[in-house]
Amino acid sequence: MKLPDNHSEEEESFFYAVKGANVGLWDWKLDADTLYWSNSFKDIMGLKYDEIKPSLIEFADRLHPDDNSAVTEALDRCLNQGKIYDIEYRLKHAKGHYIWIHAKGTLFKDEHGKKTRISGTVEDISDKKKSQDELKESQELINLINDNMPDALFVKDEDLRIVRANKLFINMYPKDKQNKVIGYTTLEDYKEEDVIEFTKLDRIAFEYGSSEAQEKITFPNGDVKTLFTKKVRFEDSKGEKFILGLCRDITNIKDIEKEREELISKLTNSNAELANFAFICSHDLQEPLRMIRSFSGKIKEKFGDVIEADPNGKIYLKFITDSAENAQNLITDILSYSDINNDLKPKEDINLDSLLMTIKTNFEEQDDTISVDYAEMPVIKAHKTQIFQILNNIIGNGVKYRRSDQPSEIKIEVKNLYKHWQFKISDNGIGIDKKHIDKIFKIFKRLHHKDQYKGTGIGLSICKKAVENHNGKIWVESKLGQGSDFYFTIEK
Amino acid sequence: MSKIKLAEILLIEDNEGDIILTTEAFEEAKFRNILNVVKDGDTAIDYLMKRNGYENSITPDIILLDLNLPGTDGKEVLETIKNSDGLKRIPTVILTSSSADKDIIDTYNLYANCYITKPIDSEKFLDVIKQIKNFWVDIVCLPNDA
Repeated sequence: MKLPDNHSEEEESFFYAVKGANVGLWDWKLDADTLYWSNSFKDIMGLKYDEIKPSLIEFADRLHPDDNSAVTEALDRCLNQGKIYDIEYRLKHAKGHYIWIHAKGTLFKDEHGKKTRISGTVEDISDKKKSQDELKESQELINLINDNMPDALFVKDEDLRIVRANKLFINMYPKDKQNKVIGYTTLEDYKEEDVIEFTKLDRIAFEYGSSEAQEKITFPNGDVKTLFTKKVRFEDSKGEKFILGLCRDITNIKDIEKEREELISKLTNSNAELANFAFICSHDLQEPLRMIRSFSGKIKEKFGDVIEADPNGKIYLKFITDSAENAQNLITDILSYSDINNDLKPKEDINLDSLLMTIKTNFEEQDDTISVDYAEMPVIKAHKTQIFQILNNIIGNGVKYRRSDQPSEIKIEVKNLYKHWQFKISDNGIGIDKKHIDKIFKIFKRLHHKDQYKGTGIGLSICKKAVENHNGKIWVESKLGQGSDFYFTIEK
Repeated sequence: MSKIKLAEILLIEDNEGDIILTTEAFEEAKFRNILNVVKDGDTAIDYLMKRNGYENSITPDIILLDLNLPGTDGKEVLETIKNSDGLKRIPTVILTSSSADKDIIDTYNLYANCYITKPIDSEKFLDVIKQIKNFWVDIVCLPNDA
């Protein structure tokens, strides 16, 4: 835009006013049907000053097709009804994209009342439109979040009226009341004790900026829910205070927690009963068994000659004493199995070198074809009785299930892992059939006949329990006839 | 089943005491039968499959099966029997000291023909053996090849 060379003072002011306002001017002369475009209008459209003819067709060509009818109608109203022409439309910029224009115009008449021209201004409002669109999009996103979030949301004003809420919140009211939520406090729809609680939190949030709580509320639709609610104060542009409330439904979590607690307490009880049961068994069952053994001994002593005269008699008597002995062994082992769970002694530093020396001596003294060897052992922090039971049982098994054709050799090694000690106890015994390997840690499970190898089938279950008490694992690698490698880990 | 033919009974049982009690109960009941005893699951399967030294064994008419066996247990033996076309029709009576629901359900699910908890009393034990014989040998009709 340029100022003509011979300009008046008024022309100069006009020039700068238009330039400063960043508006374009247009003037549609009705008689001549010409459209004047000011140079500032051409600037807005990115056109060179000689690039456009003063014609309405040039305008129509550049108008966005979707805005055509709106512009035509607005011009028509201006022309025929004398209304102010005020409209937003899109025009094609010289670079090919559309720009948003806000146009204003007025109909002018001559002294005879004849309509002569419509003239006015244009303003580029693309930037304004863009931010309006962005605002709309972000509002839509907020609505989408509100309606789909798993939490109920509401906004209350200082009179505790709900001014905004998402669907989830509204749905906590019965259908016929849902249109009377926004704009109301709805306090009368809740139980009095609930109202006291949640309005207290409302007030704390208004006063201190935020509040949060777990609350159990009976909702107007009858649902009883446990919520985790957070309330935050904010101000709108007018300085009015509101609180935003977010309520997360934790009813299920609470139920699960409750169930879990009940389960734990049941289990604790049944564990205690079990321990008690084992204790009763050990004492009350030992007694009659001892009687069976003592009196079958007496029978043998006094009437042995008579009974053993019959070949069956001798066998029967033996079954009685053997079975009673068996039962007593079972009771002792069940008791030590149940005791493992009730080991109340704290963990202590255990010098494994000296513990293993005791075990080694014990076994090697029984029989000089047994050797127990171990690498240098660490001092570990654990339950001593349990560690002794693990080592003694596994080493004992290695010796018990030995091959008759060679000396029994047991080796113990240790590996220092990140969080655990890993022990390996190897023997050169009879090994374990692959198909039975999964069963051997099960209580009472035995792989052999009692007349072959005595035992109750509890030893390895005790080891497993003890290892688990130390947050470890126990497993075995073995091949039939080729010895076994027992592994177990103990948490440091 | 012909009365002249002796019933072949296979007892799968590891407890020596129970073996004696069962054997004597059969003797006392004066049954005309042949009682064969195997003492663990693997041997039982070998016996029934006629292999590993049991090539000449006779397929039994009734199997009495204990559950608590060393190594391969009674349920595994039962599963093997009921999955075998040649053996599945043989009446298999579970005779065990367990009265646990789980054992009863598990074994019926594996098609056990009946489940009996061993009575503690020796007279009742004799009675049970008699009834097993009466029912499975004298009353029930079984296919000829069973």
